[in-house]
Amino acid sequence: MLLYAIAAGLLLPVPSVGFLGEGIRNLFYHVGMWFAMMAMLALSVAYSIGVLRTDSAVRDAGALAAADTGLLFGFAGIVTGMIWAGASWGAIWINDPKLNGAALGMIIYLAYKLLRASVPNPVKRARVAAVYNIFAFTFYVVFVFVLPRLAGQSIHPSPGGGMVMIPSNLDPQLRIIFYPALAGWILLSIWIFSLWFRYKKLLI
Amino acid sequence: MLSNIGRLILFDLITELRQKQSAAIVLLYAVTTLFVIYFAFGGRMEAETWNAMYWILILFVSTTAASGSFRNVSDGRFIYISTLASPAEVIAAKLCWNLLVMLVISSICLLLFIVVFGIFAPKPIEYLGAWFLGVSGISLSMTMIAGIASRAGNSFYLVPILGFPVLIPVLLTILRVTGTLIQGGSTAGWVYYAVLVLLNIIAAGIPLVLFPYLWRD
Repeated sequence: MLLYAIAAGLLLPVPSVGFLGEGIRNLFYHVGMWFAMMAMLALSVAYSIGVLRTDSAVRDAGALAAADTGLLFGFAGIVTGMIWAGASWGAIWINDPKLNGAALGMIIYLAYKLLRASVPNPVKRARVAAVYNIFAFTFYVVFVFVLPRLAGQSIHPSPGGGMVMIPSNLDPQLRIIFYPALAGWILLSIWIFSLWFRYKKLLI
Repeated sequence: MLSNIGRLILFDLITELRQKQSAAIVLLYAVTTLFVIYFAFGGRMEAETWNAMYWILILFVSTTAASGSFRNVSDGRFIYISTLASPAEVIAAKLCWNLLVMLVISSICLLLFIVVFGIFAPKPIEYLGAWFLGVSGISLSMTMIAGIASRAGNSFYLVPILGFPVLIPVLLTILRVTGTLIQGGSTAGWVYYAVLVLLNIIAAGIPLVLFPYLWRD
């Protein structure tokens, strides 16, 4: 727990370096949140597969908790993205594949929650929700990672993992802050997830 | 296994011809919506708009068609059918049947669109190839979604809610491809076709794997 707190704490001293306009600092928040969200959603799918194999209520709670945490970080990511966009592009939302993918992800997981709400029987709910989770997530992954590449150029710096994970692409000064920040965000999401998961388990 | 699938498709076909429940309803829905579109645009539209409206129409029609294809799986028949065929066969049959229904209805809609608005692609064959991939992607995905929704109860409103997000990748790709073709552009990049094929494979493959879990009850 302390480790999580320290890692998250690393996020705060971060806004100390800013050279291409102060806006680049958002990199440490926005991108980190996005990675955390993807990690959470992938975790949710992993739990869903587990649900299908064993019909376990615990795994279902895990799927739900991970999806909720993913939603939280997704919305946080969109909001920070909007703030950044307003500052650097002049408009808070534009018609761009990466942004559309982000919105789509949120819609998919909101629909997931709605689906869960409409099945009263818990065993059936776990299974139905798990199937939708896996199905929709596959499309989502295709959408987020494949389509932006097809679109060619996009105003949103869209890596698909390429831009920030290759060290040479990122200025060294930013790099020392970025990687720990990334780890910090993911750890934060895992922490929130574990708390939420524990809460959900108590409700079973 | 294949004969079972064939028999299930035949069953759907005969039910349809006798009771005219889902396909006829969907066709009427499509034609009526087409009328509304015609009046809304005053009988005239640009090629781009034509394309977009067509695919939006197909999107809404597919939700109706998909819900329809699962309507006759009420409890009594469900138990009966599950004794006859494995869940994978059931879903394979539903996928094929829905695809057939959607192809028929989509082609009728396409013909009507061409006739009513007088717009069509300069290179018909390529357009039809892309069109086929688009329709099949949409129908396969929606069939699975309808299957999920049918197990959830209150499936009427769930199908669009669950389905539209899942359909957006297919929709965006097909809109781009057919949009380029309609404008008379040169061949849309092969990558788009690859994506469409990939989406089709996912939409067909995942139900085959996951549907048995849904069916187990």
